Amino acid sequence: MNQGQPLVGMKRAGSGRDYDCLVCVSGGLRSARVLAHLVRAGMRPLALHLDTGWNTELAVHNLEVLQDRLGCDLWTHVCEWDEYKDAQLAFLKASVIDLDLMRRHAVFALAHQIAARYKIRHIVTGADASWFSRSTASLEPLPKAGLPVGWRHFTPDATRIQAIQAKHGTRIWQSLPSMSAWQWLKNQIVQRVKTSNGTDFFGGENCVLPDDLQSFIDELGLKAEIYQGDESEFLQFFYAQYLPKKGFNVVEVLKNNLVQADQPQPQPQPQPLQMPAPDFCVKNWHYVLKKLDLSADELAAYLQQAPVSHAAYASGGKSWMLAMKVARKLGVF
Amino acid sequence: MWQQIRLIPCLLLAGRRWVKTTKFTRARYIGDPINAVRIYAAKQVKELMVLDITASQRRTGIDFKLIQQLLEECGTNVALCYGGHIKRRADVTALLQMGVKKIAINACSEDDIALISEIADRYGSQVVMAIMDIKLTKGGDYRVWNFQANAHTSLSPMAWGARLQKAGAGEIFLSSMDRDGTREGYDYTLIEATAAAVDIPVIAYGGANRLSDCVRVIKDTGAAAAAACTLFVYKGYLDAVVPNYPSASKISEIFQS
Repeated sequence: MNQGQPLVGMKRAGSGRDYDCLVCVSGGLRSARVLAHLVRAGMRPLALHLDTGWNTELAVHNLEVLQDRLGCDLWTHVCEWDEYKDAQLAFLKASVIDLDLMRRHAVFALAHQIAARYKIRHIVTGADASWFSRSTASLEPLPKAGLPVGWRHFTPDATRIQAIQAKHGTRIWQSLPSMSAWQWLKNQIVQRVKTSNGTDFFGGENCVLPDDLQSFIDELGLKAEIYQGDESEFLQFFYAQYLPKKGFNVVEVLKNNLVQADQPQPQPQPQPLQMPAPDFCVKNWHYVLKKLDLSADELAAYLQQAPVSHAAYASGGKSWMLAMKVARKLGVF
Repeated sequence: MWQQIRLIPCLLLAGRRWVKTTKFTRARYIGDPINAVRIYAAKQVKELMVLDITASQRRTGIDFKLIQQLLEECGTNVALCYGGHIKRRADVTALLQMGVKKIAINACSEDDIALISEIADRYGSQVVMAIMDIKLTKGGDYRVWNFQANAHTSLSPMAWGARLQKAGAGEIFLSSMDRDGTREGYDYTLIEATAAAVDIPVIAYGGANRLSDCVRVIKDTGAAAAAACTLFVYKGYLDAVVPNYPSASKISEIFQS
């Protein structure tokens, strides 16, 4: 793949505007790497961060450093904690596997909203798996991953979040960013936003692998994650405690996903693929209890429940398939 | 010398919501206070102020459960100062027993003076921080603002500061309402005049934009400490919410240069 090609188009689309592209950053290393790469390639990105109330010191440190050292603007959106907490509790009670769906959906919707506000034509998803990934969109099991249907759901689908929250929550998804298929389609027709996966600029998952990673970290003064999901206390809990209890070993899952992403093999393994130490997990556990206002027994009971497929809840998948089809026909996606 | 430099992040709460005001109005939601305190504690902040600006409007008053949760995040390394609807000695006793290190009392009336004396007699002046909200009058004079009545008092900050000192306050938190959230720099005239009028430490608040403002207020005006909200929360042109605090080495570097 010619890595310069998308950047030329991006630069051209951004001429006469404040920003060339919008980059979603979590505070982790991968998105930092994508942002730094774009800045060094001469782009003027607007960084976008969604604060769900679980940021770690590592995340805010990295966000600060990225702003100071790369000189790019950062837009943050802070989720109303009470509302977000209610959604998280609903997902816990529902015992579905993908507890991270709300965050991904909110980032997705927010990115489109902010792109529309600043008339930005390119959205680069940090390094998260593609929002429009076909394998998840069609609700097929991830190939080769050996996981059941519905373990990770299609990010743009807000209907599912609402369905889960309607059944298990007490509030509605109100002030949190959200976007329906039709809003998205309208937005695409007007704005013609192009979405690309940050890792594409490095040819796949490479953005965390290169030999110069350590020098990249040192140069900017970033803090490197040690465990999977270190940029958010909730992701730490999700990967290290929730998923294993539901029968998913995240280390294996990630490795399989890498295989599935048609990586040329062999490759050095991406670095944050460890399980945290037990005492770390205990601290994390207590923090989750406090944040979600649960007793240890309640949370343990939620973790004991058998996993439920997302497919048990209403989905807007069909609308999305249709909207995406129309967008493709119109040549705006 | 730099070890004693006190830079204090100040968290404004509206119930369980962490907010940031501009000139004491237009509260913008900026997150969950528990997570904020956890981040500041990880950033090795020594002192933290938490001011509940809606406690006096709530029927339930002080949110002890939240304070307990914040204290857990503070651990042993961060000294927490709490302010907001402190009207009874029993509340002060409870807060101190929980582990709050200082109690901030908004002082603009004789009742507040009486409470300050009472607490200072019982627990010592080191736990009492008196808050003076100062706002310029139309005539251009500094006057103490009565937060609850939403009106000016006739008290001048210098005379009232001396009065608070006499009553037993250990420190004065001098907040400039006209500068709050504006990033225009501290009100150096006000701070210098007040610090000269009292012998107890004065903590400057309102308007800090850069760390150099903190340096200036401590070095030039006689303030003992610099407190700030905006400086330690907002970053950049778009006011991104990124809790930040300089490392000890950075503080020493800035103050020595």
